Amino acid sequence: MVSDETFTPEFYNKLKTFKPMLKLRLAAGANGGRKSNAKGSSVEFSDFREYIPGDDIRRIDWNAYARFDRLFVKLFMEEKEGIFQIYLDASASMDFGTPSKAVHAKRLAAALSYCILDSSDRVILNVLKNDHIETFPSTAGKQGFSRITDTLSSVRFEGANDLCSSIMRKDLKARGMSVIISDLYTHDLEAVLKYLTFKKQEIMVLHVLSPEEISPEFHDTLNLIDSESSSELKVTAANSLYRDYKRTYENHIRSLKAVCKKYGARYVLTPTDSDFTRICS
Amino acid sequence: MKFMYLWPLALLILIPVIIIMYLMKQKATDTKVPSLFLWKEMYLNRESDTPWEKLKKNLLLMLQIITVLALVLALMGPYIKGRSEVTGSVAVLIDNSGSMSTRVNARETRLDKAKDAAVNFLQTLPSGTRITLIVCNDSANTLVSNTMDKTSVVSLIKDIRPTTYAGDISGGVKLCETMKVSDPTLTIAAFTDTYVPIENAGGTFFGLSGDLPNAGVNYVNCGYVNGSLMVLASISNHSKTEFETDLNLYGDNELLAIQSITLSPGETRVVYFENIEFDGSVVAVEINREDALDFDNRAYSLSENAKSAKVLLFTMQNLYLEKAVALSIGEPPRKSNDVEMLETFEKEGFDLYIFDGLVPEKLPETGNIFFINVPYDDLFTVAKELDGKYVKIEDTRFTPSIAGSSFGVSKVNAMEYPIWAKSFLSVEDEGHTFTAGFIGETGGRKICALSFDIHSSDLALRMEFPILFYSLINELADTSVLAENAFYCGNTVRIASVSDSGVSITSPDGRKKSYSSSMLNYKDTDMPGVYVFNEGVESEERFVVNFASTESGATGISSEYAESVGTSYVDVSENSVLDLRFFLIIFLCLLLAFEWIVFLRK
Repeated sequence: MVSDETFTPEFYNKLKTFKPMLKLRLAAGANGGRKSNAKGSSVEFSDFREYIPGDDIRRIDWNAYARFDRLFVKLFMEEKEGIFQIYLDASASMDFGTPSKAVHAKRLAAALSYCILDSSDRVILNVLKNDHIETFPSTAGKQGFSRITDTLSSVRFEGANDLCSSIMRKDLKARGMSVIISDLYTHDLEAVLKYLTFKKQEIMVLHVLSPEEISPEFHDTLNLIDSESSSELKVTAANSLYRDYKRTYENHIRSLKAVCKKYGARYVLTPTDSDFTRICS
Repeated sequence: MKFMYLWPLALLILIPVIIIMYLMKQKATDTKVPSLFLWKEMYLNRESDTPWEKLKKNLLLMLQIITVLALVLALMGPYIKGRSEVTGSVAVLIDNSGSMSTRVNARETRLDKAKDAAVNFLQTLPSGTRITLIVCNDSANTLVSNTMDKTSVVSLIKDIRPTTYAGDISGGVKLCETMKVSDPTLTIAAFTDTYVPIENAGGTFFGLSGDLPNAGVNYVNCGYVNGSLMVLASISNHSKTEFETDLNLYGDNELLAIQSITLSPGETRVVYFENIEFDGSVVAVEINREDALDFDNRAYSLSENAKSAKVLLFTMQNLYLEKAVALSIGEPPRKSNDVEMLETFEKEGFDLYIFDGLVPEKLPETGNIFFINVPYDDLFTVAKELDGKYVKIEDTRFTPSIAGSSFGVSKVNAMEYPIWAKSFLSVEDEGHTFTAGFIGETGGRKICALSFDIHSSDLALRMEFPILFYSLINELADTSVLAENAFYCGNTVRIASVSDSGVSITSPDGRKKSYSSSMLNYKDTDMPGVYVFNEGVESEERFVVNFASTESGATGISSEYAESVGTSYVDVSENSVLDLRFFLIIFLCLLLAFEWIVFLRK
C-alpha cells in the first residue's frame, strides 16, 4: 500500500530542479513545443528554398527577390508535440522496501510527467498489472499535471504481472518515447524492447530496486516467499550465499544493460534510497 | 586388519540420522520478498557448479559422515596383528597383587601395562585358541576357562582391578600344571612382576619392570622406654638409584617427628625415633616423597598395646633381652634370678613369664611363657646339640621383613617342635632341618621357645634382633580379644568375642560393618590403615593393616633376569599388535578441526 505521503511538499520543491534530458526526434505528429525534423510554421527560421508553384506565397522572402531577382520562400522549423508513454509496473513486487519501491516509482513517473508537460509534450500513463495494461487518457499542458498525480495516487500495487505480455498489449501508432518503470524481474525485457523499437519508440528503462534487494541481510534460516507467485525458497544465512547473490545480482544488471544497449534504450538504475532528481541529468 | 568389537557397527545408524538432520536443517522463518527471481537465478548458477564445487558446498555433511565412520572404526578397535606361536590352549595369568600397583611411568601402573599386553597378546592368538584367564594375588581365581570368545576375555581383563594383597602367580601356575595333565597343549602367558618357575607348565613371561624410584616402610614397631615412646621403622630402597627422603612419624595422625635419611640402592635401614612424648593409640611412619608405589610409603603400629602388658623375666643377666622387652612393653620388666620365687610372683598375675636359661619346676597356671635356652621336655624335645651353626629366620608373621636372613650361633639345641606350634627359626644339620625357635598356642596359653643363648649368637648385634623380639613379646604379652593386632592387606582377622550383642568393625575409610556372630573371620582388610573393633558399647580395640613389604620389594622381571633363570621372556614394550585406534583418534581430531574451520568459513 502506497502511503499518502508520496507527493509531499519536498517532492514538489525537488521538481523545480528536475531537468532530465529526454531526447526525442520527431518528424510527425501534432504541433507542439518540441523541435522536429519537419519544416513547418513556427517562428524559428530554418532555411531558404526556391519557390515552386503551390507554395504559400506569404512565405516568399521579398528581400531576397529584390537582391537576386528570384523567388525564394523561407522555411521554418516545425515544432511537434512529443508523445511520452510511461509504463508503470504496478505488480505486488513493487510494493516493497524501505523506502518503498512503489513510492519511488510513482515519484519518478510524476516527475517525468511534469517535465514532459513542461516541454509542451504529451504524456500517457500506462499502469501494468495482472498481465494487463491500463492506459489513462493522455495529458498535455501543465494544468494536466494534477490529474497525473491524482491518477498515480490511486494506483494500487498488487498481483503478479508479466512485463512483456502486458506492454505488448499496447498498440502504439505514433513515434514517441516509452519509459518503463519497473523492478525488471523478467527474462523478457529483450522482447519488450524489440517490440517498442519496432513501434518506433525511443526507450528509457528506469530500474527501481530497494537497498534490501541489492544487498540482502538476514540471519538464520529463512523461508523466502515470493510476493507475487507465493512460491517458497529456503535459504540459510552464510557468507557464501551473500557472495553468490551479489554475483547473480551483478550479472542480472549487466545483462539488462547489454539488452538496453542492443536496442538503443537508455538504462538507469534508480535505487529507492537515491534522489530521483539525479536521474537523466 | 581385524577388529576387536563389532557392536560399534550399530552406530552407523547415525549416518542416515545426520543426512535427515541435514535435510530438515533448522526451522526456517517465513519472510516475504518482492521476488525470488534473483534467488532462483543464484541457485541455478549453484547447480551448474562442477561436481567438486557441489561437493564443496556439502563439505560439512561429507566431513560429518567421515567423522562418524572414523569414530565407528576407532570404537571397533582395529588392529594389525603379528604372528603367535600358540596353538591349542593358553592360560593367561595376570598378577594383580599389591606390587602391580607400582607405576611404570607417570600414567600407568604395572597392572595397566599387564592388561594392555594381555589384550594385545590375545589379539595375536589364532582363532579357535582356547583361553583360560586366571587372576592371581594371595590366591588364584579363574575368571573364565577354556573359552574361544576373545571379546569376553578382553572385557574381563579390562575389569581386573588392583589389590593390596601380597602374592604372586604361584597359585595360578600350580593350577595350570594340573590343567596341563588333561590338556598337554596348554601354555602359560604370565603377566607378573615376580618370577615364579613356570618352566614345568611351559610358558612365557611378559616382563614388567620399571626404573621409577621406590622405597617402602617395611615395618614399624614401638615401645615405651622410661615413659617416652620409642619407635623403630625398617625402610628399604628398592630403586637402582640413591633415595633421599624425610621420614615422618605420626601419632594419631599428628606429626610427631621428622628424620631425613638417604638410602643407597637396595639398602635396608632401621630408623629409630626416640624420646617421643606421645600417649595415643596409633603411630605411623611415612616416607614423605612421592615414588612409584604409594601403598608402601606408610606403615602403622599400635602404641597402646605396648603399655599394658605385665612381664616377669627370670634371667641371670641378659641386658639385650631386658632392653628388647622394655622396648616392647614400654617399661623395664620385673626381673628375678630365682625361679623358686615363681609361686610368689605368680600371685601378682603376669601376662608373660620369660625363662632365660632358668628352668622352673612347674609352669605358672596363667599367662604366656617364653623359654630361652631352656629344655622343657613336657612341651618339646631337643634332638641334638649343635655347634657353630647358622640359624635362618623363616617367613612367618612374626618375622616381618627379616625373613630369609640368618645369624651365627656357637651352640644351639636342635628341637623338634610340637604340632600346635610354628617354627620361625631353623637350623640345618646333615640334611635335616630342625627348629631353633617356635611359637604356638596350647591349653589356652601361648608358648614360645628359643633353643640357644642369645649371648652365644650374633643375633643381638643385628638389626633383626629388635624386630624379632618386638614381634614375639608383643604376641606373647597380648591378651586382647583379637589374637593379633597387626596384619597385612588381605589377611583374615580371626575374632573370638564373648559379647552376645555382636561386634562391629570400622575400616580406615570410616565404613562400619556390624556382625551378629561372636566368632568372626574378618576378611575386608584390603585397605592399609587402622581398623577399630567394637565389642558391645564400651569395649574398643584396634588393629592395624599394613602393606606387605614383600610386595614393596617386587622390582619386576627384566630380560637379563629372565635370561639368567632361563625362562621364556617377552618385553611388553615390543608390541606384536599394531593398534590402529591411536591413528584413528588423531585422524578424528584433525577431521573435527577441519570441520570447524569449514564451518567458520561458511
